[in-house]
Amino acid sequence: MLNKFIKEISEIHSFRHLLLNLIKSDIKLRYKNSFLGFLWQLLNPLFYLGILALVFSQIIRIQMENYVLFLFAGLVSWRMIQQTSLIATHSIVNNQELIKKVHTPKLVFPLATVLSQFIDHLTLSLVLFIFLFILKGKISAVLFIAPLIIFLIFIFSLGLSLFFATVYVYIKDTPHVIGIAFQALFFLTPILYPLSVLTSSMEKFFKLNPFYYFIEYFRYPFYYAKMPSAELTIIVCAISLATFSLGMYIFLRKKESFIFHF
Amino acid sequence: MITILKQVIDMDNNFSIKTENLGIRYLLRHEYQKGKKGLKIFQSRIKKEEFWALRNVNLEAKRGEVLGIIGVNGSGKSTLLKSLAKILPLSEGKLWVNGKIAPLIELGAGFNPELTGGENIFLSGTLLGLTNEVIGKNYYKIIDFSGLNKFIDIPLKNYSSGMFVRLAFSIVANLEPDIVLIDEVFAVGDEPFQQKSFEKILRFKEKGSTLLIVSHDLNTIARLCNKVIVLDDGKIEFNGETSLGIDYYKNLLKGIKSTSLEDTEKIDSGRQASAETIIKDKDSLRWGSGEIKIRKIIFLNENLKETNTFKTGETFIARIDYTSSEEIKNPVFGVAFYTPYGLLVSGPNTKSSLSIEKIPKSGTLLYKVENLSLRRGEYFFSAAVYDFTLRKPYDHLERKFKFTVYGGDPSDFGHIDLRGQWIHKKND
Repeated sequence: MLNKFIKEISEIHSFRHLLLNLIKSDIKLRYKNSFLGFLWQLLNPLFYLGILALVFSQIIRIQMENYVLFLFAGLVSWRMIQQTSLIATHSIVNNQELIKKVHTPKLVFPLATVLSQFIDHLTLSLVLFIFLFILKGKISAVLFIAPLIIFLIFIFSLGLSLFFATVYVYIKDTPHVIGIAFQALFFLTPILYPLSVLTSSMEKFFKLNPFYYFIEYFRYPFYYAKMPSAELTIIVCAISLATFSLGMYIFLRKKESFIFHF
Repeated sequence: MITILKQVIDMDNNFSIKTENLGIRYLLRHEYQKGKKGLKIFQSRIKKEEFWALRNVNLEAKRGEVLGIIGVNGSGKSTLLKSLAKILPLSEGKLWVNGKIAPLIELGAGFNPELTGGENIFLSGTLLGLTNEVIGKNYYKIIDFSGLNKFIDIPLKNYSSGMFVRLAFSIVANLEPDIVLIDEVFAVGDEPFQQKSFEKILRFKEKGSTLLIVSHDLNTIARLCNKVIVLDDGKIEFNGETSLGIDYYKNLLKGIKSTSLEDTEKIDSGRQASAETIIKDKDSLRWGSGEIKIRKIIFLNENLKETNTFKTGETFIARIDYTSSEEIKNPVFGVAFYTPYGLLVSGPNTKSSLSIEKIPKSGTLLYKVENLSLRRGEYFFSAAVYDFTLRKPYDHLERKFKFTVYGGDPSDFGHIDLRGQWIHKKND
């Protein structure tokens, strides 16, 4: 399996310009013929944030310090995982015509989708950084770990994407199930509210959710402005690595027979 | 380590593609529903069946060789090309590839209709594993070849289907691959572009690229290929010299596997029983009243050795053995040479040149050409014996035999070498 992995990676290297062109065309086509173009990628989550912030701080009245920033940081990291893996689920099936007709390393398709998604998410993270000043959040040296957590979320999302994209080739219900699951998880993960509002028994249950750790970790540089504990760091690293390995393993095992199942 | 070693051995052997017991297996899903026909929403039962599209395929294409792959629809030709291009995974066996492959299998596979022609050149070029720099270097060459200079900045969705394939062909054709896999892509674009693409393929051959060509156009195969593989039912039925392979394939189509007269006679007797065979075999017929019967026809070379292949300029002899049941006066024997498309090249007979006053019970007639002027290609041969008025056929075997002529300059066209001379003078 390790051999297969190394072989796929070296093939990706020789097809690196394809990867580049796929990302470029993906970005170009997403915003082609729209007036505001790339701006939509920012306006859309910002409006969503605005609505949620209004509902939860003014109507439901969640009482906490700088709630909008708390919500914003949670939303950005959540979208990184959810949007990316939801869209990348289609990356193999949508490219079936290509896979049937040309020899390419198949990893290039999910990888290109995840990377082009992350270009959007990085931009949104930059907006979050600017909002840190606007909303008068705490600015500290901990911001330097932001690239680390974004990288870990990338590895985690890539693992999920590979897994979902592979399963989708065989089971056509996959995107529907994932869509519903993500909707439920959005409320079961402390994005809109802090974990502290829950009872301690509920808290234990909520901590079984792997998404919680990524959302929480992402808030350290952008909201809490303090260093995360070593324990949390290890948990996040372990979940990313395990998910990535699992996704990659299943993808590499099945990639040869994709062509027989389209 | 072993793979590196293998690659070194491969280089020594100087081959481009080699397979060993290659096999491709599909799982076919049969969907059943008891008693109901038509379009079904709910499937009650799905049965899976193994299907070997290819099995035990052993082939080797040396560097610079042009290998033709022929066979009926569904014989596995396209599957073979796809497995050689590493699109389909092997179910069993081994495959070695030495060099960069350019598949001209499904043109425009990597195209994105929303992107412009120029952007698609880069996208589909990198899809073949090339770098943007290499494509950039050939960019204008590709556009010039396609003749789409005016439309290169227009999204592909606005292209006509002809423009689409022209662009696709131009990309692959201008990227100097080591191995080209061609699947029926000669009929691309209009007449001038077809000519251009055919010349391009000839140029690949000159430059020493290895070509594997799938085509139903046997003329193209005969003109281009050094070697031919005949596939039937996923197996290699023939692997060898082009003209023999084409013969083999044509007989396969007719349902016969050999061309000797004994076999054709067997088919003749079977013909009365089944009307189907007549239709299948309507190009080659036998008729006549039967007082004189042609028993055997063989072709001989200068040394009177039996052969089916001749070289332009060599001696060609057709030997006709006959028997006669009645004493017939002044019969006329004749032979005829046809091209595969039925053009009569020559039809000499004995009426004025050789008189046979009374026919013996059995005899042999030779038709001898000393300096054969037929050019390379395949020829069909007829033999007949008529009465002296040429009205009554005793026995007529129409295009039942064939032979192949090779040699000569392949850039000369046509069927006959007129043995003309070129004279060039300077005008002062």
